[in-house]
Formats: sequence, structure tokens, C-alpha cells
Amino acid sequence: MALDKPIITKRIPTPPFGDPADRKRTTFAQYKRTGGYKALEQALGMAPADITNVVKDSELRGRGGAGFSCGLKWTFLPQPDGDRRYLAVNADESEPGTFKDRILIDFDPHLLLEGIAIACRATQCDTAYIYIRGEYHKQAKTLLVALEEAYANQIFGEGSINGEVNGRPLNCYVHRGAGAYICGEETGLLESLEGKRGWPRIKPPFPAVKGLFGRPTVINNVETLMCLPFIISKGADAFKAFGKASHFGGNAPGSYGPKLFGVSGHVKRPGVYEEELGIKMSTLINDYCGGIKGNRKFKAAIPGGVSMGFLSTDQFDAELDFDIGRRYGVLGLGTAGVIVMDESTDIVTATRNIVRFFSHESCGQCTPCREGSGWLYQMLCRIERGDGRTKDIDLMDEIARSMGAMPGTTICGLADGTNWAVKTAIEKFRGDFEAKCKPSVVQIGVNVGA
Amino acid sequence: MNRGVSEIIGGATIDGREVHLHEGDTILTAARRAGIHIPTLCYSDDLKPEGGCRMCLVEIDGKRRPSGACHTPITPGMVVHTDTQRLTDLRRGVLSLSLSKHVDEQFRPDAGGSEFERLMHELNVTGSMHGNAARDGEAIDDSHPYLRFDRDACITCRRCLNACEQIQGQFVYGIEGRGAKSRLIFGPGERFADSACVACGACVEHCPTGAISDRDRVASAAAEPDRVTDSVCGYCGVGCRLRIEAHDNKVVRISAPDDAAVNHGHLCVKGRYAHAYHHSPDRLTRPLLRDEVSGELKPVSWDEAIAWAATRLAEIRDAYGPACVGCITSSRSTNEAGYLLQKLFRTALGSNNVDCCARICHSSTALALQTVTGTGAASASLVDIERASTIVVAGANPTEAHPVVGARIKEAVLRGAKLVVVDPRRIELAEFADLHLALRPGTNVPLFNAIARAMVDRGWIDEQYVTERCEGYDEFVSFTDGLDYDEAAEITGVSVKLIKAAAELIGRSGPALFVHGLGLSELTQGTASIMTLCNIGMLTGSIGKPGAGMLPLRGQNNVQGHADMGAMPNQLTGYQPLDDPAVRARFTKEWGVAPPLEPGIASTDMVKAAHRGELKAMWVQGEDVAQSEPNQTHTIEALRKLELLIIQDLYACESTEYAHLVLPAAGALEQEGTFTNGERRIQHVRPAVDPPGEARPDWRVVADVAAAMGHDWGYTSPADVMAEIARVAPAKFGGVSYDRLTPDGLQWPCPTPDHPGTATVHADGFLRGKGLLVSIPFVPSPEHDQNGFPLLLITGRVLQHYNVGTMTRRTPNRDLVDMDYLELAAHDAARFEIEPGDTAEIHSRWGRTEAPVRITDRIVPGTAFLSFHFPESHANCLVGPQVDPQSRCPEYKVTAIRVRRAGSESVGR
Amino acid sequence: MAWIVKDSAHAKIEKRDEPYLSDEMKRHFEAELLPRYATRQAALLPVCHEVQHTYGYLPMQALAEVASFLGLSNAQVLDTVTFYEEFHLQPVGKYMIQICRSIACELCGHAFLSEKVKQKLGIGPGETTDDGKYSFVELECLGACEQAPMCLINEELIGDLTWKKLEAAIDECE
Repeated sequence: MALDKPIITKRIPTPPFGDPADRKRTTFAQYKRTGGYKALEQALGMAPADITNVVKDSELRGRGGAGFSCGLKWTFLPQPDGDRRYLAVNADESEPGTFKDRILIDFDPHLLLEGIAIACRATQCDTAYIYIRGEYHKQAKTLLVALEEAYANQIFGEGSINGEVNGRPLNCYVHRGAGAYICGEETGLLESLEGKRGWPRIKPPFPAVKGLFGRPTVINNVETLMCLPFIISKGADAFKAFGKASHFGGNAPGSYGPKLFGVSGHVKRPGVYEEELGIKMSTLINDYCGGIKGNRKFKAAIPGGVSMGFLSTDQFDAELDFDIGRRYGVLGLGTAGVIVMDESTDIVTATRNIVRFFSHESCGQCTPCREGSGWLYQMLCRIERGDGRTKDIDLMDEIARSMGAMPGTTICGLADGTNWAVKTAIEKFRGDFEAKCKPSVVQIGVNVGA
Repeated sequence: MNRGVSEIIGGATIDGREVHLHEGDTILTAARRAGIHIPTLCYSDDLKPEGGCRMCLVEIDGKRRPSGACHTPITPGMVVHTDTQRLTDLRRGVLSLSLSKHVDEQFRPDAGGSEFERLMHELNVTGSMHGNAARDGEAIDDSHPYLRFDRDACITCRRCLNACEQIQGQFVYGIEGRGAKSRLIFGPGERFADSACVACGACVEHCPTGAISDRDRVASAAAEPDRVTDSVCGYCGVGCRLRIEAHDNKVVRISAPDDAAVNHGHLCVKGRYAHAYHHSPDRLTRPLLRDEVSGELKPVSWDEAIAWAATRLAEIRDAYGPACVGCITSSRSTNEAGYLLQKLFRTALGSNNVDCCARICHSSTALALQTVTGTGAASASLVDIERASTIVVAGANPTEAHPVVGARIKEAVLRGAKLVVVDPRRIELAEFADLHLALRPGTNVPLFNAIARAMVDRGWIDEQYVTERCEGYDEFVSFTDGLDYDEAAEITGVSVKLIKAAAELIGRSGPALFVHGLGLSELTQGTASIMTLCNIGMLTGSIGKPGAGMLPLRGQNNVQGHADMGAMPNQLTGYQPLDDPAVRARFTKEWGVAPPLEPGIASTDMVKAAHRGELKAMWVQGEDVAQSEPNQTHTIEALRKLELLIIQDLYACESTEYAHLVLPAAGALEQEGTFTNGERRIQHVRPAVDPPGEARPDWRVVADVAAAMGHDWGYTSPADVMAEIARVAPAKFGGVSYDRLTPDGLQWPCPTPDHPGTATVHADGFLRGKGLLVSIPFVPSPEHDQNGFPLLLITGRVLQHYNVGTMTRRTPNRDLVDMDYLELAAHDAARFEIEPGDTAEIHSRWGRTEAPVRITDRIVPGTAFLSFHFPESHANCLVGPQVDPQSRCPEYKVTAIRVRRAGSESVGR
Repeated sequence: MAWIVKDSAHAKIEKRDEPYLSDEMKRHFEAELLPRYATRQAALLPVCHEVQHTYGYLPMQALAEVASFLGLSNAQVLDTVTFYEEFHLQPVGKYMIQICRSIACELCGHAFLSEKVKQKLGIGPGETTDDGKYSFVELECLGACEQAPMCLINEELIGDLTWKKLEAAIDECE
């Protein structure tokens, strides 16, 4: 069923339920008055394992991009040994096309804090760090204000309603990043939190066993945590009333719950909208965003942040859920930050832009990504300038494959994002590339310079 | 550096072959053990997996994505493929991308080239499929005297960085920027020479492309070594094993075998690089005899020199008696040379006036350990550093004076061992320490007593150990009961809180390893300092346990050995008493002459006796006594009064000014013999090059003089001498012979030919029966609280130089540090109106000198530090004549001084 | 950790007598930041943020002081700091005009705005005006794609940009 009232955006006026002009930060008092922190009180009456079970039953999947089961992730933690355990909140929202967490933090920070407290209760973590990207100056300040309110009202700190966890009061801190996309990768985030360059770690060990400061650590996305109060107060079934089971049947995990969709690019009313998972992209664009800007035709879209690859013109009706990858030949749903491109868009330019992003943000740890993404970018610039040859297209396709079509040659998934963009662009919009290239008549001597 | 052997935990299949798995195996380690080759680039088996180069990708059945073999754990039943076409394509692609950063001709596939070029050869990659970059005009940095960096050849694999951090604990390198713009940096400076590099060379050993290389290696690239020799380092008492490559009788490169027990392939700036002194143009190459008419030293033949020495020694003995001759053996020379010189004096000359420079460094340590434990040497071994849960470093600065041990301690701390540093200076290790007790110089005794009291008070002691293995406990408790914490804090400058914290940390963590140095022994309460430290060692149940015990760091390569050999006025070889009839009988049988019964005098007393005119002849083997003995002015006067001074040395030095006969010696890399390191390890020293000119090994010269005096000993090689040493001191060395010394030597006691040697002494109880707890009250040094001398001066070493600098000053180490500095705290500098860059005039009650000043927060107000490597600084002019009354060890570590800016009128108070 | 080798180890750092890390700042860090983390190193980003906030950039000497305060080597601090785009090792203008150039903003015309800024201020991306008033940078996604094209001027986000709106915002900078 379609959403008949807002769930996550309950306090954030959002069309069709409210007018964005009315948005303002929800204070502690307002939050509490509108039923806030009730779910936490409820959770504090439950055994940690029971909370985890409810979350598992809800089939809540991570909203940060990977879509991994939240409840299952929590069960990877070892039994508490009395020493510290950490929750790292991933608010390093940095992938182009993604801005949902920013709006959530801007207007309903206490929903995040309540989610954090519930997650800490479930996983018996005593310290939470909200790792927020450095460019979110205002949001960091908003969180600090909200945290001050929360500490003053015994949500965190000495003598809070959480009591003691691992013999310590529950604490929550804001930790600002400083401009590096890779810190959104969960182990890159941990390295950055430890004061190092945000190079993703080799795994195993996995963070659940050996994470921040070598201790068991849970890493959850902002939106994921914000789903928890609803799940705890209304139950797993209420959450599962939204969305649907997997198209692939069997044990394949489904796509349940409400979801925030951020739409940007060539639409009339870009913004964040809340709907249940599985909504058609065409519905989102036409009904929520007022259609394509200038009434032009739809050409392409990227379903959830630029690492996901392109949806083609004929995939306008694609259903936005966790099955999108297998069904429509993209990497996945990602962050559900949909970037819409109209008929005037040159896919070569769009691809060049995306690859430049990944080249710029490559951390430099693994050779294929460090050197390969830059090489791809140079090549795309050449083609965009009209200096390319048709053989260059195949060469690019090949390196995109040697880097990532066989995914996982690198320590983290960033290189895969580069390759999915290039691969799907060439596959679905080859005409755009060929139109810019001269036919290959001689053997190509590639020299892309430093 | 720590590699254990573990049990087989299952099997897996790699390339169709069954392989055994051990705990902690990765795919790579399991494959390598089975002889299956997987290409790697950023991996090194002594470093943690880095994983970035992606060269070691392999396929695992059931996994869609390839995995990095170096960091993926292998599990029982896993089926792995390392050599598929898909993987080959991937690896070639990755290598090609790597090459795209470099100019076309930078690397060429070469089966005999660098690791990177060998990989190109293996994967049949001739160049980049992805284009090349332009050469960086400023790419080569040769600002450092030993290391060269070629940015064009750097592939940012981070092996240098990991080696620097994980092996040396130094953190010199970083990566700047990110992505394709990543580049290697050495801290904020642009030049290598401006970095924090300590030139240990670990990065050179690990660099796969030659981007970081040895300059001397590059310079001699054409000179393929014609002689490769395994031997032992001639610098400090750590005793690192070396592999020396020589060409045309010149050392071209020194590295370390990976399997070396002492140093695991690691070295320091001295051992690896500072070997040029062997080829210095001012080496002595002919014997020199002082012409009676002109007073000049003139070259003579060896025959003439030996005959003259034999005659003069006999004349003086005959004229004044055996008590008027004496010798100091060289702690830098071999055991065999030292053994023979003391034998010469005890047999041909009938004198027990034999000593070695251990007198002026660790004599207090030897005496203290002998007194309370039963043997005057380390109870523990270097391997205990890795085993220890708690390490106490007292009066030692290993990262500078014993760098490989320093690196091993840093590594241990980085892995989680607790560290307590007791030192007046904030030495490098203090920064790694859980606690740093910055005591006033010379106040170890009250500090250790107070710590012991806190342990006893709080019950932080190993009662069973104390009851079963020690004596003197009741008396000790009543002694410590009478101590006052506040008074101890007042005397030592260490707060009561810190004293108690140290007691808790050391006392509650079980057995601890006590690494100690000259900061304890070179004091008037030197012996007492070590004995009171041993109290703590016994209270914590540390002595005689693995990963714990007493580990004195010996200053020179063979200072342990020369004491072992009997270069001591009161003991025979193997610390055997002069007056024991059975011992005497054994020596008499072997030597054909009974050793004299009357104990001789210590080296410090020999100098004083010479000054009084009572000692007439001295033979000094490889020690510049004029510079190294305390109270330099007095020492020189003493040397002038001698009727005969024979010096065996590599160079003319301060002391040769006063010598009558100068004999050219062979250097550490030029002779055969054995060195014994600080953990009692006797290792085989082999000549890597021949001595220059007519210079001869010390042992040969001594034997020749003996023969000229009618004592023909008939040795044909140093091995014969060692065989005799084993016979005269069977309890310690009975099982030692040259054919057992490869590769890592033997740790004494080694009484029989089938004995494996001893890593932990006192394991089955103390050699003296029971460990002795001693109750020693603090006695201030005469240098404490001297009116008008407000600062306490410590003298010591810096990393780049070695003792009085005769060796290191003749190497490019001089380009790294070219003078001694007086280190002052900012507070004191201000007090005495001295600014950075000023030269200070330093006065003690015994002398004056000048030195440039360095203002540092590494030293506490009231204390100053001066290194003693350069003769210009005359550091030992300042040091007084007082010695430890028991060990006769001089007090180099506490001297009351006053300072002022050179040329200024004011004298600070 | 320690680097105690030579005087020249600090040769390249322009020294000023007064430390950048005042005792008051250190006390503040000790009291407010360090207790939050299990290691001192973990406070590196927060400390650098505050130092940069105070001085406008991170002078080399300040980084050396931070290194010693946190018990790190100079190289470790540089290794981390140079990884993050928001840290400036050189002085920047009083106002940072930061225009987003990522996909949504490119689709919605950021290039035109960049060109206009270039013309108006006479500087290209990565440059600072001679009077030190403005720096102009193009950044990757700033997380406000629904307001594309958009920019940050210092810490303030300005979205749905037209040149008129952006020029007014630039002119408003004092």
C-alpha cells in the first residue's frame, strides 16, 4: 500500500502531506510532545536480544546503500565482555545525488538520537559517535544543540534513563569528517574516527568483532537508525506493512518499510519524498516531483547515488526497491537518491562527471582504483572533446571490467562504482559515445599523461 | 619480528594440491609454505599485510570476487586457484596501471633486477598498456649521506612506511594527498636529510623498486661483491649479525641476515652504514717507535717492534717488580686478544694488573649482579623483550645507544607491552612509556627503595618466589619500613604519586624485564643502584623467568667478553677466584706458570698509580684512555709519567701522543675471533676485508710478544685460543668451540659440548643459592649539592656516534651530527642568559670546557646533558675523580657544573 | 613519537615564537575532546578543525605542535591531514566560495556560475584574490542536490542558485 501518512518524516513537512516551507528543527520538547522517546522507554524495558529480534523480524535493511539486514548485522557482535563497544553512526552522506540524511538531521535530530539510544540498548554499546561529513556545518551544529537537550533530559550521560552500559554511562558524540567521500565506507569511517587517513581496512577482521579502537563496533546509517523508534513502538509487522517481498521469491530478502527518496536533476520539484519501497520511478517523478523540467522527455536516471549506474530510457517505470539491481542491470538501489536526466543530457558528459568524482575521491590505497579511475577520466575527457576513437570505447569497457566488472579486485567497493557508471553508460547509451568518436583507423597509442 | 611455529589445524587445496594449514595462516602463507608462488608487491613476510597492490589476487571456489591472498585467512576445506588466465590478465592489468605513473624507460622486465622488475619479467609485462607519465625533474633526493630517494621509481606501495613503523617504530614516512596524487613524504621537510630518519635501513631492505636505496650501493653498482662474509657488528654490545659484501678489499654494503637471533635482519645507522672508518686514510699501517733523540714516532718493522716491546717490558718488571706493569684490554677486540693479553701479564710478567674498559662502564653492574645473584651478567636474553609483559628501562637510552634493542622495545610497546622509563631525560622511549620517572641524576637508590617499599606495603610482590628463592627479606622489610616516601620524593624529584604508580604497575603485572645501562652503574652508588634494582626484580619474581629478569645493555661490542676472559685484576677467566686452589691448579697446568696470587689494581687506579709514579709501564689495547678516562687533565699527566706506554690501535689518537710504541691493529671487520654480546652470546667474527698495510690482528701481536719473552704458546688460529679458554673455564665455556658457533653462537653458561647454551640464567634457582635482598640507604654523591655548581651534568651517547668517536667520526655519520652539544632546559638557559646557538662555557670542580648549546624540553631544569664523541668538547675534563668504592667505576653520570655564555662576564648561580 | 635526530629536522618549518596551540586551547582539548576517545590520535580531526577555525588554515608549525600534543610524528599528522580536502595547509581567503560541480549541479548549470565567478573575481578554481578576501573552489557533491546548482560560502549553504543570487551573496561578504 502507498504511504497514507508520513512515518520517518512525521515531523518534517513533506509533500504530499505537508509544505516544506513549514519545516523547522524539532526541539526536544516538541519531539517529546509528539510521542518522541516513547519507543526508547519501551526498548529500555526489553532485553537487548528481544530488541534485536524485533528489528530482525521487521526485515529492516540498511538505508546507507548496501541494504544489509540491520538486525542480522547486530547479531555479529560477540557477547559483551565488560569493555567498551561502539556504535558509529554513518552521517557521512557524500555520494552525489544523496541528501536525505541532511534533511532528516536538519529537522528531526531527536529521531536520530532516539534511534541511537535504542541501537545502543540492543547492541550494548556504551559510546556512539555520529560521524558527520565536514561540509555539513549546520547539521553538526543542529546535532550539538539536540545532544545538549538530550543530555539535559537524561537521554545520555551520567544518570540517564539508559542507566549504565558495560559499567559506563551511555555517551554520544558528534565527530566531524573533513571532506573525503571514502569515509562513508564503514571501515574508512572507523580509520577516520581514529584520526587517520580514511583508508578502508582489509577484512576480516570485521568491525563487529574488531572495529573502532580494536573493539566490537556497529556501523549504521542515519535513516536506518531513524526507522527504529517506529519499529519498536509499532512492531515489526507495522513496518512490514510497507513494501514487499522479493521478486525473486524463496529466501531472497524483501524490501520492506517506508523509504526516503531524494530526487534531483531535471525534475520540476526536486526534493526528498517518503514512500514505501517498490514505488515506480515514473510515479515518483511524475506524481511527486511534478514531472520532467520543461516538459522534456525522460532520458536516463541513476537510482541511488552515482555509483549505481544508469537506468535506460525504457526503464522509466523501474520499481525502486532492493531488487532493482538484478532486475534492471544496475548495481542496486544504493541510497535511493534518484538523479534524473532529460533528453538534452549527453551521457558522455554525465559519465565523465561521475568518473571524475570517483577519481577525485579515490583514496589511493589500491592500484586498480588509484590509477585506473584517473585513466578512465582522462579517456572520457578525450571523447567528450571529440578526440576519441571508437576503439577507445572498447578499451574503456575493458578496463572497467578488469577493474570491476569482476567486482572486488579492490579492498572496498568504490572502484565498483566507477565501473558500473562506465559499464552501464556504454551498454545502455553506446550511441552517445559513438556519436563523439572518430572511427578507429589506426592502432591506438594511448598516452594519457600524468 | 616474532615468528612462532604452530600446529597444523587442517588442510585446504591450492592449485589442486593439498596444503597443511597452521593457525593464523592466510592463503599466501599457506601457499608459500607449500612452495606455491603467488606474485606480490606490497607484501613482506615480516610486516602486517598491506593489501593495496592487488597483485596477489586469487580465486576461491564459491566466491565470485577474487580475494587478496596476503590478507585473506585460509580455512579448512577451501579450494584456491592462484594461476588462472583471469588472474594473469588481472595482474598484468594492475601492473600496467602501476607503470602508467612512470616514464617509459623507468622499469624494464629483468629477471635479475629489482623486485618490481622481476615481477614484470614474471608476468611478461614490458611496458604500460595505459600510457606513461613524464619524468619529475626534481625526482632524485640525495640529501642524506646514506639513503637516496628516487621519486620517479616510487609506486607508493607503503612497504617503506610499514617497515619504518613496524620494525623501527620510527614513523618517518607518510602519504600525502590521496588517489592518483598520493605521494610519499618524510614529514614536513622536502628533503630526506630533514626527516626524522634514523638511517636504520629497514626501508631500503623493503623497497621493491629501488626508489629508496643505499647511496654507497648505488655508487658501487658496477662493483659486484667479490667476497661476502657473515660476521658480527663491532659497535655496541647488542652484537648484531652482519652480512658484509666487499669488493677489491673494500666494504661496499652491509646488511643483516633475516634469521639472525639478535637482530632479525635489522640494523642501525652505525652497524649498517658507518663502516668507512676501516678505509680511512689515516689508519696506522706500520708499527711506530718513539725515537729517543727526536722524540718523534718513527716506523719500524714488526720484528723490531716486538723485540723492543718484549725487552722493555721485561726490563721494567725486573727493575720495579710486577706490580709496576699493567694492561687494559680492548673491549672492541676479540675475546681471544683479551684472553691472551691478560695471560701475557699474568704469566710472562707475573702481574694481576689487568683490566678492561668494563671498569669504566659496567663494573658496577657485574659486581652487583655477582653479589646478589651469583653471576655478573644478564640473567635474561634479548628475546625476552618480545616475551615481556612489562619492561622497565632504567638509566639506558637504547634507541640511541643500542638502537636495535631500542627498536625491539618500541615494537614490544606498540604491540601492547607496558613500559616504565627511569631516566632524568625525556629520552625517546619515554614517549612510548606508560610512566616516566624523571629522577635527579644519581638518586636511583632512594627511588628504587621507595618503589620497593610501596610494593611491600601494598603486597604487590611474589611472596612464594621471595620465600622460596630469596634471603634477607625480613631485614629488608624492616629497612624499607623506616623509609619515608616524602623524603624519597624530595631527594629524587619524583612525586610520591608517581613512585606508587610505578610500584603498582611493575608490582601488579607479574614478572618484569629490567633493561638497564650506564645511568645506573657509572655513579658512586653504581653498584648499589643495580642491587636495589635487583631487589625489585626479586620482589616481582622476575629473575630466572622467561620474559623477565635483568638485562644490562653492554656499551661496547665485546665488553662482556673481556670481563668474561679474565681481564679483571681480581678474577681469572670465567670469573674464577684467584685464590681457589682447584682453579689455580687448572690454570697452572694449562699455562705452565701459576697466576700471581695478589690481586691487581683496576684501570682507574692504574692511572692514579701512574700519576703517583708507582706504575711504570702500561699496555693499552684499543682504547683512547686520554679521552675516555675521567678527569682528563689528570689522566694525561699520568700518561706522561709512564716509562713505557704501548698502544695497539687503528689510528693515532690523544693517547698515542704519549706512547712509546704504537702497534697498528686490525678493525672489527678485519680479523677472526669471537665477540660476546650483552646477553652472553659468543658469536663468531670473521674477516670481511684484510687489514691495511702491515696492521695485524691483536691476538697475533700479543702471542708474538709472549714468544719473544720466551713464552711460545704455539697457537695457529684463534680457534686454538678458544679451545684453551674452554679448558680453563669449563663451567662457563666448556662446551664452546668454533665449530658450534654458526650461525647464532652460544649463550654461556655452556659447560659441555652437548649443552645448548643458556638463555635464562637462574631458572632453577639462583647460582649463589638464594637471591640476596639488600638494604642499602642512599648516600649522596660528592657532586650533589655543590655550592656554586647549580646544574648536574650527565654525559652520554647520541645515535650517530660511538663513544669517543674514533670510528664514527671517520664515517659520513659526521655529516649527520658534527659536534657535541650541551643540552639545557629552557628554564636554565634563561636563568644563565644563554640563547640557542650560543656556546656555553662549562665549569666543574675539576675542569672547564666549551660546547654549543641546544635548548630542549627533553631535560628537566637543574640537569644538563653533554655527549662525549668529539675531542673538542673535552667532556671528560669535567668529570671528577670519584669512583664507586666497591666497583671502582667512575662517576660519569653526575657532575656538578655551572654554565655561562662563552665570553660573558656574568656567572649564573 | 619522537624525532630527535637533527636540528635540521625542523628547518623547513617557519617558526614563530608564540605557539599556535595556546595553553588554553590545550586545556580545552584535554578537558573536552580527549576524554571522548580511547586514543589521543583520534582527536586529530577535531583538534585540526578547531585550529583551522582559529587561524583560518593549518600552519606547519601548528601541525608540529598538534603532533607533539597528541604524541604523533609529523609524518603521521601530515599523512592524515593531507587526505582531507577541508584542511588547508596554506592560507585561504576570508570567504571561500565553494561551488558544487557534481552531477546534479552540472546537470543544472554549475559551469555557467563557475565561469561568472571566475570573471567577477578574476581567479580560477583553487585560487585566492590578491587582497585575500575570496578563495574560489569547485568541490564535489555538498549534499544538497535538490537545490542544484548550489554553493557554500564559508559555512553557509546557498541553493537554487542563479547568477543574480550568487553575485548578491558574494557582494554581501564584508
